[in-house]
Amino acid sequence: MTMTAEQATWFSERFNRLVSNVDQVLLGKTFVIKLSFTALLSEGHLLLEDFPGTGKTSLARAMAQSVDGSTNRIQFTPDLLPGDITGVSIYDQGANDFEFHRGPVFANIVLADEINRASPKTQAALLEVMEEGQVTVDGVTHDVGAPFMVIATQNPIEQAGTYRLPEAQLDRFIMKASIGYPDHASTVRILEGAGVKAHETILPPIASAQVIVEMGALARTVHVDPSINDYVSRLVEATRSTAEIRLGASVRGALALIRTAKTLAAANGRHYVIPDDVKALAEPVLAHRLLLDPEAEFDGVTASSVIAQILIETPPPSDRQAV
Amino acid sequence: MTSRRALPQSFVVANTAMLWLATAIASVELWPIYQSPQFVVVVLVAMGIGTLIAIGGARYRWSSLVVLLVTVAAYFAIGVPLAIPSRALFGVLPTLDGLAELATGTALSWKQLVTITPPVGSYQALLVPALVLVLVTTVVGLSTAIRGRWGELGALGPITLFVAGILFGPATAVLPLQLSLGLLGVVLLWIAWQRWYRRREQVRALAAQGTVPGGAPVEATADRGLIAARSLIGAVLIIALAAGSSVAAALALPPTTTRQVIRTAIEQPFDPRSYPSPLSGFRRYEESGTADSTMLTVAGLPADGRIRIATLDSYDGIVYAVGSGAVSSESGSFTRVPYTFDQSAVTGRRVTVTVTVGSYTGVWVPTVGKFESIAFAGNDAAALRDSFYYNNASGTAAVVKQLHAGDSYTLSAVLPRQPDSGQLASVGPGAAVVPRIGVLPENLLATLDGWVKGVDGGGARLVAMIAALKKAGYLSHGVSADEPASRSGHAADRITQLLTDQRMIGDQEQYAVTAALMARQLGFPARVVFGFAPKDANATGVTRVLGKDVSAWIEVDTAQYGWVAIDPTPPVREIPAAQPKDPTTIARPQSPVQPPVEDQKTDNSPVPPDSTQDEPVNLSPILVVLLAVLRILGWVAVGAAILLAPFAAIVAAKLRRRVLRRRAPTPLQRISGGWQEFENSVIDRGYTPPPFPTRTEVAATVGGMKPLVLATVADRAIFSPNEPRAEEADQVWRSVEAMIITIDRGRTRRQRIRAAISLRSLGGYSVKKLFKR
Repeated sequence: MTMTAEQATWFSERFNRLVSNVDQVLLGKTFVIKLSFTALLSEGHLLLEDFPGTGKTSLARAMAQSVDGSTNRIQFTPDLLPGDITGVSIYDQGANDFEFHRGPVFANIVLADEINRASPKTQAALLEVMEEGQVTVDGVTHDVGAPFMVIATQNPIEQAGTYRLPEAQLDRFIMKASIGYPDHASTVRILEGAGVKAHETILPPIASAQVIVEMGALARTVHVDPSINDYVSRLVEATRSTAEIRLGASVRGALALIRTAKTLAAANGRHYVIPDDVKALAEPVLAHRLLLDPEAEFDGVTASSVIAQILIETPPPSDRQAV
Repeated sequence: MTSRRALPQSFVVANTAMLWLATAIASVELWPIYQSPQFVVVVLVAMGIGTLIAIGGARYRWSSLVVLLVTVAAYFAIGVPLAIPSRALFGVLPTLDGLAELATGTALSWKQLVTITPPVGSYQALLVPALVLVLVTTVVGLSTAIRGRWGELGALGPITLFVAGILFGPATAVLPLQLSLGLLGVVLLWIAWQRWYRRREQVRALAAQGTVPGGAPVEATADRGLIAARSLIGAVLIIALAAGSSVAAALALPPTTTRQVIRTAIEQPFDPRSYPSPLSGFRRYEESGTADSTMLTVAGLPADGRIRIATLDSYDGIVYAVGSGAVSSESGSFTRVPYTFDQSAVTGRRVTVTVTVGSYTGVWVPTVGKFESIAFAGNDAAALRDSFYYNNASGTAAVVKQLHAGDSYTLSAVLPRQPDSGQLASVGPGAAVVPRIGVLPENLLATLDGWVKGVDGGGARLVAMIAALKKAGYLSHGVSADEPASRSGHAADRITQLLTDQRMIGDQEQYAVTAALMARQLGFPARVVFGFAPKDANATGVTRVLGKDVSAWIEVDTAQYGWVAIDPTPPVREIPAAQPKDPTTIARPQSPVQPPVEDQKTDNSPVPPDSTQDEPVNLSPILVVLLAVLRILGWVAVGAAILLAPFAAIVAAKLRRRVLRRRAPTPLQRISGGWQEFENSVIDRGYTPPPFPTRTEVAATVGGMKPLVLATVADRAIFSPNEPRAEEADQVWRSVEAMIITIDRGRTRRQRIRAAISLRSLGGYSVKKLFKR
């Protein structure tokens, strides 16, 4: 069953209300907010690589409030243990049994701050939850619930004492984005509201967790023409044949691109994907999955510039694919 | 002013190579003017110096004024050894005299160049125009190409040089088609490359401004190739069309006249009509004081050689003259010749004679045959050389400073091959153009008719006429007491008298004029030659030319041999005594000429139909003007058709593409075609979407809601699972047409025409779609 035009309109209306709601907190960053909700509705996770103080926590909190769900923030440090994230089983003398104490990962939206500061073991524990949506402790599996989304952050400038996320784990994030500093007008508006602390801002919930789950399910029914699949396939193949790239995007990357493109199409009120959806999402979805050749990296080439070049060199479909 | 600027080396090298190639081709157009190795040196050095100045100016960011000053300084530094080598010290150092001549030559040599017959070699300062042209066009062209915003305009430098070569060159074109197409090809290639390069730089500049993180090029490799290929294909297409049209036009409608250049339009400074006809003074040479004096001393004169003083082709009923005041004549147009004249096309015997002037004076230079080269000797040599003029049509030479006793010169010439009397009888009239006869002597036609009656064939009639003239005539100069009276002059009444007297008495002056006029009536272009026919000429010794050797003969133009000299002078023989005036007595018993009165009825048709050169065509002046206008309009139409053919092909290709798109079989294809039509239209109108754009990106480039809506409709039709309806396709096409009209509304007519003939949208997908649905 594919999405109808009416369903697309309903989806778009809900989506835009969510975006507008968060936009009250994160001024002038509509596209990043859209990306974040796209990741959420695509049942994926978001990696934000940005400087401190750009609004990462505010974004996660606002999203959680908008979906009327729970939110937790985990500050990753080198001494953080996996159990500090997933939770631990503690022996209850009264019950004469081990009782599982849920960690902060049990929330609809989890903000994993400075994820690269934790040890790989701890990172791996989180990433397992991200992939499977459940926590297994002492042989017992605990479902984290739905919707579930991790917004992890990295600081791009401080590299000392950090553990860079391995490519295989980066692949688990459906998108990587940057919030960036606000423009002048937005900064002025933020300063005008400086009397109110960020955590004091309470946003009204726009959609329940159940609605979010339904929207995610609906987004999967958006029609994708074979020519679009072909286009995505050509893009991904191009990342593997580019000289500057040592490791190209995986099939998981291609699937993520299609999945997010469907959500973005529905967010824009369409029940079908167009090449513009793919183009808009190619960089946030694919760039962090690429491993640059060291020489190219030394020359200043970035994964984003490679994706941009590939988009320029790969013609989008202009007609339906001949069957 | 002197801060250095980093210029891409490949850009400078490519532009320099293109400019050199184009300049080299354009310079060939100047070759016929000079035909000297020194000209090649001038071109190469001027190109090199000009290139250095242009590149230096670009590298150090000189202002236009500084470039101008440097160019002028370089010009004066290299000008003398290059353009006036005779004024250079040790061949390389300029002298003060040389610099002065260079300065004056910069302004004055242009006029000299068009009033002198090429080739001029390195004569005087006549290489100065070539140096100025090549140096200036190189500096300006290359500076524009590597510094200008629109580098394509640099091609105007070589084009200017080419046009200047045509304007200052001879009337006969050398390799016109090859040179034009060669230059066109190089210029189009240059322009295409310039456009491609500029676009690439603009794209890179956009990337550097942060359009793409990392500063990577934002242009697709495939797109770059497509654009380059499109430009190249466009250039090749235009060259092919222009070449094909030009060759076809040249073959179908070959030019019937030589081209009009400055030297053909300019009035030459020597006007032979300013001087009295030398034939008028014919009898002076026979007078007692002059007849035995040595006019000339000629070494190397062949045994049968005649010395030409002047060739006269215009008769107004009073005098036979060089050229005419009433009509234009090739024989009246004299040009300066520095030292040599190309006579390689003339077949005949080559001779070299050395002439020393004795009692002879005048502007007319005694020559032999067809002049090839001349070298004056003596103190006045330079002055005589500078005032030497020549008319190749008539073979007449002149010096404005006049020849005087003691002047000497060595002449190389070709004696054209001449037919014998038997061959002469079978010749036909040539196509030479001679001025129309002003007044025809009475009785001339009647007499001629009697002489050639019953003879068939132009050549045979000519021979019969000459024979009859020789047979009927008696030679007398009438200057000595023992000679019968013979009035001098050759006006119409004197010729009538010659033909109607009892005894036909005259000398070479009258017989030559009579023969020439009669030959004209027989259809042969004819002229009178005044000169000397020495009796004791011999090639091995020195010939003294006396005053009494003066003579006049005629030349007739024949289809087989060109101009043929014929001496119509009757042999010297005893002149019978005059008979008393008795109407019953025939005054000329030896003449077959019938009494004039009886021949009057045949006066109207003595001229054979071989030639109509002297017959005025009685057309109404309005009709003449109308025909001229129609002829001009016709040529303009042919030229316009050739020029417009490539553009018409482009418009036709676009129309074909549009029709195929609009009539596609399914609504989906029609909608897709409608969008393609819109996208191609906006690209032709100068919009530049990003490489491989989506529909939304194209719409964003154009701006406004309507293109965005159209893009959305097209995307929905193509990418949604539902099939579009036919009405939607029609609506899309209506929207496309409306939007194109809206875009055009704010544009000038010139912009709309440019869009219609733009090649930007014709490439790749579009070209392939031209030939299939």
